[in-house]
Amino acid sequence: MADNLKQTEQIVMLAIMRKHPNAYGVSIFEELSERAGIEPALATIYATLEKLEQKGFVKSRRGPPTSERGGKAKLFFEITGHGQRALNASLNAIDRLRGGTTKDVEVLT
Amino acid sequence: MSEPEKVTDVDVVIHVDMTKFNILAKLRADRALRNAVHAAIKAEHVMATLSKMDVESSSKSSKEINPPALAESLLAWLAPKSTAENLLGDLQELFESHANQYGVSRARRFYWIQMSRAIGPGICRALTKWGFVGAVVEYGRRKLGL
Repeated sequence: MADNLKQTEQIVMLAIMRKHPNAYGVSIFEELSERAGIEPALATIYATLEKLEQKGFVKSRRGPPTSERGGKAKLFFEITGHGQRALNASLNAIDRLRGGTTKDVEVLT
Repeated sequence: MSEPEKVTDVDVVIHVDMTKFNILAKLRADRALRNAVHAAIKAEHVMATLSKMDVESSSKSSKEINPPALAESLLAWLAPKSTAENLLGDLQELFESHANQYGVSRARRFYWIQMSRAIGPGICRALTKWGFVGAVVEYGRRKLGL
């Protein structure tokens, strides 16, 4: 149960996978905005990344400072093996729940 | 021995006319030259004014293309320490990108919204827990390490 991922954690990890090896705050935000059509607060993304790092699902590394960021460095993230297994388990659970339902979930009247 | 050519009045008139024509032509040429010189001076003056305006507008626009200073300061003071630097860097990058794409005012609006979403929940929790005075005291205590 400790490896269960919340929805925010799932989508952030999927965005990291898509943006690897260039996954940092801005690229994750833009990926979620373009692909999922959601604009989470950057602070929410970082809070989620912090929790994922505490659980050992992602790890971070500091990049070089850049002038476009006012001299601040980027913080890149990548998924660990443990994180990949947790993500797979979480997505498989959703697939099992969805199995047998119609593709577009009908509104129950 | 041929007789010397008689200079008739017509010749004199023609000669005078030619001279007058030459003088007039010279005057016209001088005037055209003067006008050209004046036009060149005027053009140079206009170019100098335009380039001065260009420099002023670019310096003005470079002043405007900066994140809102108050929002930046609030974020630096109130955001969690672990994420403040990353947030500031990311918002700076997004601000420049949005300013180029959508304009400065929309970029500033986005910055303010992100800033309030970053620090708003924490402020609300602190106010709920301690009240306004308590929240201020608690903030000061944490900042001073007491």
